[in-house]
Amino acid sequence: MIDNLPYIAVALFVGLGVYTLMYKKNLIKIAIGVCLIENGVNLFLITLGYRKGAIAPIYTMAPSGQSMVLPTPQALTLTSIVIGIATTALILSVAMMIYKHYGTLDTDEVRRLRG
Amino acid sequence: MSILLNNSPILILALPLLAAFLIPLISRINKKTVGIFAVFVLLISLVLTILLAVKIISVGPQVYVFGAKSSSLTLPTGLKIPIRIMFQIDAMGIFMGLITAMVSFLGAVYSLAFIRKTEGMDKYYSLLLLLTVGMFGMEFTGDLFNLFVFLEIASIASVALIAYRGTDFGEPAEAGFKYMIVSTISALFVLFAIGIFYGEYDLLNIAALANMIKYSQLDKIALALLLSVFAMKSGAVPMHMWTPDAYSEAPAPITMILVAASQASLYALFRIIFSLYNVHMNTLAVGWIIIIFGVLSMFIGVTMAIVQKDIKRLMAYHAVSQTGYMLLGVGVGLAVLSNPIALKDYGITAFEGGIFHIMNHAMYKGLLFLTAGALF
Repeated sequence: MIDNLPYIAVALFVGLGVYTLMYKKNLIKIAIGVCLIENGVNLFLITLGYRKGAIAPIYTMAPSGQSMVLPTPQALTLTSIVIGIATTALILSVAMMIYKHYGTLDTDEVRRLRG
Repeated sequence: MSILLNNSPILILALPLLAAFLIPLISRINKKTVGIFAVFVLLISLVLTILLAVKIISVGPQVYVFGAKSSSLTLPTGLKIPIRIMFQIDAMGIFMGLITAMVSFLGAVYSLAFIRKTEGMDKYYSLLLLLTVGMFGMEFTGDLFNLFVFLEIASIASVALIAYRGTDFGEPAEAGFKYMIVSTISALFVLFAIGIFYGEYDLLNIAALANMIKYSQLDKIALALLLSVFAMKSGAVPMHMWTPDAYSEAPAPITMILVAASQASLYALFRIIFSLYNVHMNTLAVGWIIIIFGVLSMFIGVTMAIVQKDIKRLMAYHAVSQTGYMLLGVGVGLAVLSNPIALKDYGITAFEGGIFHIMNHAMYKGLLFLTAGALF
């Protein structure tokens, strides 16, 4: 049970994010929902990389015979965090542009494109 | 010359990528040359793609491994699994690559006359080149995580380009926001599926994964995620809400490239189905799901196109229906994959038709959008 705790947190993060996307009407809150899903996925990747009792993969400092972690999930997460910053910044700047033209952030009113 | 040809898989991507970051510097010196420079770089990329295509047709699929002593060394000595990042380009990949190179070159040429506003022109061409790089990467990569990275590059660049006129009007910003949310969510779920694969098999390479895949319960979840996400990115019907907005509000040359970008997502869908899962999955069920996507897209897309008053929205809905034809063709082929008689009878023909329509669609729909751009 205690080992599965990170996975439950992942499910909570992603679930909350999807809920926010579906039921919130504010563009900034939608951006927050996207961030929540992103954090959930990052936590998922980090959790997959965890090995009990293993050490950091630095060859010169490693005591012999001890297992090392494969650094791939960490590299993936780092890349994903950087991409996440770019997407969040872009979402927020587009939301800013929308606010300039429409004067509101409510999704019910930002609806000139339809049909 | 032979060095150029041997390294062409990476040069096709690296040249536009480098040029994308050189363009802001060039525009400091002379604003007018920026467009010419972008066209020139994309022309080199197109020539290299054609050379690579000739090589692939005569020699066979090419593998390009990064950071190895020789670019065809897929397995490092002493290891049983490939750990390096690599490009794997087969005939289907280079077919899509040719479409991408052609469409983005034509889009850049058209932009020379289309984009009259001089401020922000360097950003426009930088983003256009980045979008091209993202599409090429999705088509050439042999690594699932790279697929995610290039998907994100393509979607970030295309969102910024859709919202390019957002400083003057509200509607492009609105379309950009919609597409941004759709593509971010889809990319995150792709990453989630990649995480599932990594946790199960400790692998990211598509070819190595295809050897190991067992179609367990987790694989089914990953397949469902990837299938729905790439169908959404390619604009198949239940998830087509972003297509008409994004296509109609982007500048005309960008719409042309966006059509090719959604075909790249379609290609990623085919790559997942055929390279990764292939006969290990229940081809009949998955084939039928794709057929249903396709038929729905064909009917609803065309029906919605009839009632449109805006010419670009009409064309965009028509583009949705054309995606349906490709999905239908490939879906029929997939459904009869385990039945050799039916496969020989009509399966192969359905495959060929569906895949050939990708080229048709990218060309004629792209040119139609350009005519719409010339109208107003």
